[in-house]
Amino acid sequence: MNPRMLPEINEALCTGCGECVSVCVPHALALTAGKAVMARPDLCAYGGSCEPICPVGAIQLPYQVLFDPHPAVSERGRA
Amino acid sequence: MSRAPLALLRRVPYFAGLPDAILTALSAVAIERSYRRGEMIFLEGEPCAGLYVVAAGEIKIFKLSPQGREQILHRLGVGGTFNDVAVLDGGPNPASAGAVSDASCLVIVRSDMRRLAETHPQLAWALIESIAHRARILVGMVEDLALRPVKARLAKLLLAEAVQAAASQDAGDDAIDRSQMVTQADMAARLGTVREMVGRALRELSEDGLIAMDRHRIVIQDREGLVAVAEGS
Ligand code: SF4
Repeated sequence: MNPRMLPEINEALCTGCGECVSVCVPHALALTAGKAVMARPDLCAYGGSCEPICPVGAIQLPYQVLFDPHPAVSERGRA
Repeated sequence: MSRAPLALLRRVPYFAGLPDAILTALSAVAIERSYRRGEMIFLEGEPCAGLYVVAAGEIKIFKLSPQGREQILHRLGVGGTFNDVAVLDGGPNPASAGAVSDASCLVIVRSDMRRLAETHPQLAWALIESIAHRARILVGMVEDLALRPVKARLAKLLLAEAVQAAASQDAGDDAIDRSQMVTQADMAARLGTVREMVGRALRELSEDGLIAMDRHRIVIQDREGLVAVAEGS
């Protein structure tokens, strides 16, 4: 349905230091031609460790904010 | 009545590793004072009364609110110390102290502490470590205080975003639209803070069960709870 969301890498900012690659647990990120790239998008778990480690803010995770579509049964309301 | 001064001083965490010779020197200058239950030991703002080590009984450290209400900061038992900062900087007592039960304390006045620290570098180092430890705790407290308003504003932002998303969904627009997504950097810019603070606030909100981070979704699980945080309660 929805295209799989992935972290966004700003190539212009990326210095190719490799910090994000080294903290990416599922090894979805790699360095190619001196820039971080999402080499294995299928592996990305959107864990978010890449974002805080990047010294220049070149990698960011966009989020969609929404109310719980399936609230717990214990909650009142919703006929 | 109270324990031998040497054994007592060894119970003070930052004195524990000091050689007996230094502890003996400290206990030689320590003055023992006794208090009845409910008696004041010293008042906040008065000139530095020295370092206190509880030798017997229980002590409370407290501040008085502008309304005169007593706010207890901590209670201390045998081996606990208080006024550690004032003895080093010579400033006024930072809080008041009173005896909760019949109690006694060993008091080391600033001039003695200073003289001993000058002759025993190990004592000076122990004092430095104790202050560094305290500073570390304080930094943590300051961070918590600084985070509170960020959490409230973030809660408000998340609610507004979710309301907007719900509105566009009602309009029949089901696909995710990148323009309707926010990064932590976006949120930080909108809240006038830094990304690190947003990250910490998100983590706390999710630890509190108000939101859930689910891949690229921030799902509001407890709307009322989040409203309460947004309203600063
Ligand atoms: S951490 Fe940032 S600058 Fe370094 S390689 Fe990754 S995206 Fe590029």
